Amino acid sequence: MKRWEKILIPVCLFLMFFNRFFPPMFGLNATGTSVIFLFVPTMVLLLTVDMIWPALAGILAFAVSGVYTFTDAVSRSLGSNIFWLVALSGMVISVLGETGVIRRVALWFISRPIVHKSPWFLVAMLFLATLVIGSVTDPTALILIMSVLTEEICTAVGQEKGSRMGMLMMVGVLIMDGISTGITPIGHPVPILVMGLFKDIIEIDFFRFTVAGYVIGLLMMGALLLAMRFLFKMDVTPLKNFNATSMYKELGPMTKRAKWSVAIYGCVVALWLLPSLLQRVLPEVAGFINDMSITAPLAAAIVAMCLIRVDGKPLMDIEKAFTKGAPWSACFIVGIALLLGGSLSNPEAGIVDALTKAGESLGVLPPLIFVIVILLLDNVLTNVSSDTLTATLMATITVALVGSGIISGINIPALSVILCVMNSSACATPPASAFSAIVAGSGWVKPKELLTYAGGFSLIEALLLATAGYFIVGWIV
Amino acid sequence: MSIQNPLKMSRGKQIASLICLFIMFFNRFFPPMFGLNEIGTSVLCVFFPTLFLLLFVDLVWPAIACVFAFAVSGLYTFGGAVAASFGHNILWLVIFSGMVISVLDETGVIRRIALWFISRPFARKNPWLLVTMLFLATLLIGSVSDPTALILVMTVLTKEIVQAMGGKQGDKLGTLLMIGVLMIDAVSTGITPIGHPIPIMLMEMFKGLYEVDFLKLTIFGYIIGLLLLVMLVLIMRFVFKLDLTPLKNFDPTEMYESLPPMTRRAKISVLIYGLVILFWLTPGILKYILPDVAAFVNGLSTTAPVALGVVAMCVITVDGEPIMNIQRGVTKGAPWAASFTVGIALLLGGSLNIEGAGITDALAAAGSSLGNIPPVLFVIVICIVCVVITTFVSNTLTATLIATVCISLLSSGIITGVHVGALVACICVVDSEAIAAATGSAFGAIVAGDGWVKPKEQLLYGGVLALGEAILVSTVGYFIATLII
Repeated sequence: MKRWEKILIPVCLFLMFFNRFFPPMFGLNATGTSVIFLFVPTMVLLLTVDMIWPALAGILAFAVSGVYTFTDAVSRSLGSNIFWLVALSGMVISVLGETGVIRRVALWFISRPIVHKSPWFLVAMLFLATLVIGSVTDPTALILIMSVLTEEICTAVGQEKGSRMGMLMMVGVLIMDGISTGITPIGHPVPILVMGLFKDIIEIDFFRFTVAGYVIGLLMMGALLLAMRFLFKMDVTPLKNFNATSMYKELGPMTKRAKWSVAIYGCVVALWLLPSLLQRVLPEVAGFINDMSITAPLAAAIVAMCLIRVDGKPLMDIEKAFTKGAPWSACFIVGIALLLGGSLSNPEAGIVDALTKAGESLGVLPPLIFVIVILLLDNVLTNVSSDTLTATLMATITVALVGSGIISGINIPALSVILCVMNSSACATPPASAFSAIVAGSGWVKPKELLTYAGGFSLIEALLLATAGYFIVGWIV
Repeated sequence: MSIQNPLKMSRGKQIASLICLFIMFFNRFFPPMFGLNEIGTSVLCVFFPTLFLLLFVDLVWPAIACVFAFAVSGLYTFGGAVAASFGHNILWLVIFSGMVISVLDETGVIRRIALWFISRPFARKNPWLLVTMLFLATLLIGSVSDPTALILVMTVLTKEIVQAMGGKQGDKLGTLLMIGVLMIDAVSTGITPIGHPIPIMLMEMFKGLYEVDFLKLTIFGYIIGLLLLVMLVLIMRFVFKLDLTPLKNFDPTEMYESLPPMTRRAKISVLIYGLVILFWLTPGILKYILPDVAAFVNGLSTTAPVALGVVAMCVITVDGEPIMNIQRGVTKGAPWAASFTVGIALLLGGSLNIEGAGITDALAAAGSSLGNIPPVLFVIVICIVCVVITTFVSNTLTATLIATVCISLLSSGIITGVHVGALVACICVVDSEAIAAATGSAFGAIVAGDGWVKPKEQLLYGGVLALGEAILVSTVGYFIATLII
């Protein structure tokens, strides 16, 4: 433990646990004051010290301060539907990851005949594969496979670690991997969390979010290719003679296990998307599926994966899935994020009312400026700290400002899509995200290069998203 | 608690699973049955198949299916079912306790305390005193820790003692000492709610009928625990005719003295866990002195102190390393499968009382013709049935089953005159007594798999002891409990 941690931790814990003895401050009532002293120190600890235990301390502190009962605090965080959604989807996706299906799909993409026309098509297909696979799976599992594949491609055409082309291709795959996590709520905690946090203001439709996300994703891919070509001046001539067909053919037929796993996960994704499609045709069925909540299809998938056996073994070894597949630290962060976010908008705390009063003198901020500021802020924060926490912070700020009327005229669903895309583009520094750390550790990209290229593109991305992206998404959602 | 291997599933189990799942998920299309309304029918159609699957097929996935089935049947919303099971306070209590106790376990403190007990000077006077101290160590350590971690340490220690005296695997001495340690290990789990999920779960389930006090339950537990220890020693001496002459010259002092000094890490872990226990017990004491403080601590629920323990273990560092590595604690220390069973047990138990299900009323109508059963007879029957079931299936599920039966019978007025608090205390003790077969509990399985006790011997000696316990607890124990609780 570092020296500053030794001071910071006790101070934060003191503020969290003893705020019931503080006088009301900031023009708030006692509950509001307590909420502020729970929110800020918990966030600080989560951002700087550790991702799990401050979450637990936060839950406890809510009970000690009397804002919620302990039972309530637990069921709003660790017992929330979304906490279990993250845990269960990690379990299901881990089964999928074991079957080698991700590599198979990626190879399918880059071995299409079209890639022989120009090396840029090959690069584009590599990025597209990352985008499409990443849109329905876990970015960390994906980057492990995509970075190996990129390495294989580069080595096959005589490029070594340290080569500019290899470095730029790695950075490109990393950027697409990040973006793919933000474009759909399918198996991705952050978009689901953001949807949950905005729920009090507006219900965001799962299906429309996904459609808008794919459009934005493709747009960003185009921007990335242009940046690679004209801004970073990547030279792709070595790729001219590369042929992935044999790599794809070497794979052999897909195993029965892989087919079942894909089919089951496919059903889950379909169940997530169906309600929006069925709304007009079979409103009752859509209503029923919607009532089951988005966690239910995953629960069904786990039951199915435990029951269906191939060669005498179930698709999922539930014990292993629990200890290895479920991403517990991500779950805890999502849990505490929901608790923290909810506490700020709790009417008893009066924080939104206080903001409303304070904002009256400010006048109304233009929506576009607000969107740009939020995205730039998000861009900086997500590149130095946890994606989930950054998203929580941005979403709660937005909810507070929009709820209190300081900001008006914002298209919240559109903002939430671009915020999620921006937020998951955490590639500029190694600690920004697990996928970024993996690429930084691969030896193909130096931290300085990561900052220059991934950081540079993320600025372009922020501006594009806040302007063109916001409008395009606005039409769709 | 036995975790069945999901990799082994026979065709029969698969078909049974499909039938159960069908009943669980499609009962909204069934007509009302068993003299119940639609809601009541749905509840039973989820309750029984889930219980069946949990008992005979697997301990984890049926729990997930059950949460889903409650939502599909419209009995709860999905979020509500999740909050009432996986989001339940008690589930997290089990997880956090497991995390804290696993840290304690790693420090070797359990073996140290056990050796301290058996190396007391007076234990050398008579081998029966040595054996008593061995059992007492098991009882006291087990009363505040995890029985599975403890049995691993105690079986090794027992073997070392027997081997030091020239005994070997297959000797009657070794077999009986193992069985004795196993029995006391099981008893120790049921006597206090400290770090033990089942007593806490039972307290929670019976809450509507009787609020059992943590401290009082613990005090009763130690009294009955000591009585059972005496019973065990007497049975060993006069019924099983255990011959202890080989142990006459055994001196464990050297074993104790050869232990390295206690590390700072171990000391701090013990201190933190000690404070957690103190937190659990103080409301019962402070009630009389500082009622406000007691109410505040009580309001935080039993989960809060152990959550605080986890935080403290993460914050306090020794040699630059925190006492608990949280990543490891969450993946290795936390007993996810066990906690799922607890979560689902709470959901199932609560479902019978869902408003409008009318199950209690229907039972009352059916039971009125039975007439009045004497309370003591009821307690005896419940305890014996509980011991028999728990010997073969998961302790948590047995407790759920017994508790739901008792709650239904008591709240419908079919059985009257029973001291509910005392009944809960008795069930806690007998439910953990899963010693006669390998399938009843993890600790039973460990001893069975060890080779020192043959399955037949385990069934015979363990069975006699468990039955003796059920009778002692349901008569003398129940009577004492009515005085304390």
